[in-house]
Formats: sequence, structure tokens, C-alpha cells
Amino acid sequence: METNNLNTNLELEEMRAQFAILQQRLDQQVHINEQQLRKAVTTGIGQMKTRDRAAVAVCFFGWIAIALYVYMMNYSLLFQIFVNLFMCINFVSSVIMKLHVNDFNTNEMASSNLLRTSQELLRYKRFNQKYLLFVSIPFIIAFIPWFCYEEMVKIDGSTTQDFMMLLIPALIGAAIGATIGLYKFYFPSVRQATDMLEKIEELQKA
Amino acid sequence: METTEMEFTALVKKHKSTIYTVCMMFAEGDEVEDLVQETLINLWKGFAKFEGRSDAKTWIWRVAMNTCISQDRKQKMHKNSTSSLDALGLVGKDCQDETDDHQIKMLHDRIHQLGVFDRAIVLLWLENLSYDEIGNIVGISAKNVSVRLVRIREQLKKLK
Repeated sequence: METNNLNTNLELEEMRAQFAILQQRLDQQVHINEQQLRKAVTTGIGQMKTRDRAAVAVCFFGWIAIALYVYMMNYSLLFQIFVNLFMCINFVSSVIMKLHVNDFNTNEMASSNLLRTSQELLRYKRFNQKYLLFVSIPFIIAFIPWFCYEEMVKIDGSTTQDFMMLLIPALIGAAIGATIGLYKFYFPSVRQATDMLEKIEELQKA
Repeated sequence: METTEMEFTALVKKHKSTIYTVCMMFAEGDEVEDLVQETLINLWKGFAKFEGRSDAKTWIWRVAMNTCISQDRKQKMHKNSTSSLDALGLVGKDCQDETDDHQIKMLHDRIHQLGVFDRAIVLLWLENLSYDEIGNIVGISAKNVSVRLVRIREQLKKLK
């Protein structure tokens, strides 16, 4: 077993003294309250977090609402199948991913090393990125013109100009939404994943 | 309260400073308490499997760090203005306490400038764990730990 041999280092030694002060302060002044402990022990093993349950519920009820809407609006059968198929994929993947992450948290958090935990979380992040790129965005691209077309055929005597008047605002709205989404969520997420990957590689190389 | 819950409570109370130390070094201000809560939940979930099979302190370090490392990325973009000491109500009252506060803040600032893995390595080193134990928790070899520590030392010198 190797022993610590950095005792001559000033910064680290100073940090060790500071660490001792912190530990002493925490020992004397911090109290884990009963409410915190109760909350921890009442969280069932394998139980999903509230926000995960909420995300799954949103996907499910969103699917029901949209399925009812496209049915009641009497859109073409093919369009209804297309929308329902996407909502179904969305719901199933959401459940699988939430369960997978939850399962990892339950089983591995206590025994896994930091590197493995990071790799697992990175895989989860990458999956979400790929899902957005290869499922959600293609769906939106196909959905908007198709939805406009479905609306147009319901209007008697509609022309190409009517179709364009419906399509252009929808495309502008989608483009604004996509830009905000990309800058606010997607790019930061990709940056974080790349950063973490670099750290993992650097750690393994050292 | 059941026996298991009593054992868990006793263990957590005994090692509270370890839990808070890790959470303070991976989070800022008000986020510390949330991270402590998250760590307690993960400790409880793993408690049945733990059964004293390894050293309790090492196990707590492992769970706390795994929890923190997974939370860190979610909240990385979020900046918090309250200091961790303020948020935990740990600000000193007399002169000696003020000096200690300064020392704790220095430690906090230094550690927060390191990447997540380096942060974990240096904390485990400060806790006096052997290179083998550190390597085991982080997932790298003991040799790799010593290399990282040399690099961390260089990094800390530059930060001064």
C-alpha cells in the first residue's frame, strides 16, 4: 500500500489544516435534523423521484390529450398514426430512461466508483442528445407542414396561398422555439458532456 | 423507530461532518442542504446492502461523492450568491471564529477551482485515506492517484 508522500507541499499542508478546522466546526455546530432523516428513510428503494414521476405523467397525459385532439379534429388516419407513434415512443423512452437512472441510483450509487458513475451519467446525457437530434427534431420538421396541410384540406376552397399563410407563421414560431431550445438547453448540455468526457479521458490517461 | 432506522440514524449522526464536508465542497450556498438531503436518501437506499461490510467512513465518502458528482452537472450553470457557511448558519461570532471562517473560505475557494475528479481526490487525500483507498473510490490506480496529486499541487501553486 502506497502512503501519502506529499507532506512537504505547502498548499496541500495548509489545506489539511483548513480541512481540520472545517471538520471541527461541522462536528460542533451542524446537526442533522430529524425531518431530514425521516424524509430519507421514507423514500422507498427503487422509488422514482417526484420530478421523474411528473415527467412521465406529462408524457402520458400529453399523449392522451394529443391523441384525443387529433381524433376529434378528424385529421387523416395516417396523420393520427404518425402523431400517436411519436407520442408512444416519447412516453416509452421517458419511462425506460427514468427507470434506468433510478435503478442505477439505487443499486450502484453505494458501490460504484466516481468514474463509472460519471460514465453512466454521460451515457444518459448522450442518449437525450441523440433522442433530440434523431427523433424529436425530425418529428417537428415533418409535423409542421403536415399539420398545416391537414388544416388546409379542412378549409373549403383553400389555395396554395392559404397553405403558405398557415405554414410560414408556424415555421417562424418553430424556428424561434428551436433556436431558444438549442442555445438554452442543447448546446450547454453538449458542452457539459464534452467537458466531462475530457475529464474522464484525462483521468484515465494520467 | 425500527432497529435498522436507528442504526442508520446513529451512523449518519456519527459521520455528519463527512457528509457536510463533501456537500459543501461540491455545492454552493443553499444548494448544500439539498445535496445533503440527496446524499441521505442515497445512503439510506444503500444501507441494507452495506451491513458494515466495509469501513463506514469510506462507504459514506463513496456515496456522498457519487451523489455530488451526479448533481454537479445538473446544477453547474447555476450560480449561488450565498456562501455555504452562511447557508448552514456556521458563521463564527468571535475573533478566532472569524479567522477560522477565513481559513474555511480559502479551502472552499481552492477546492472549487479544481475539476470534479481532482476535487474528490484532494478531499480524500485530506481525509488521510491511502492512495489505494482513494483509487478505489475514484476508479483509478494508486499510481494514477499519485500522478494526479502532483498535478493538483502544481495547479494549486498557480492559483495562489
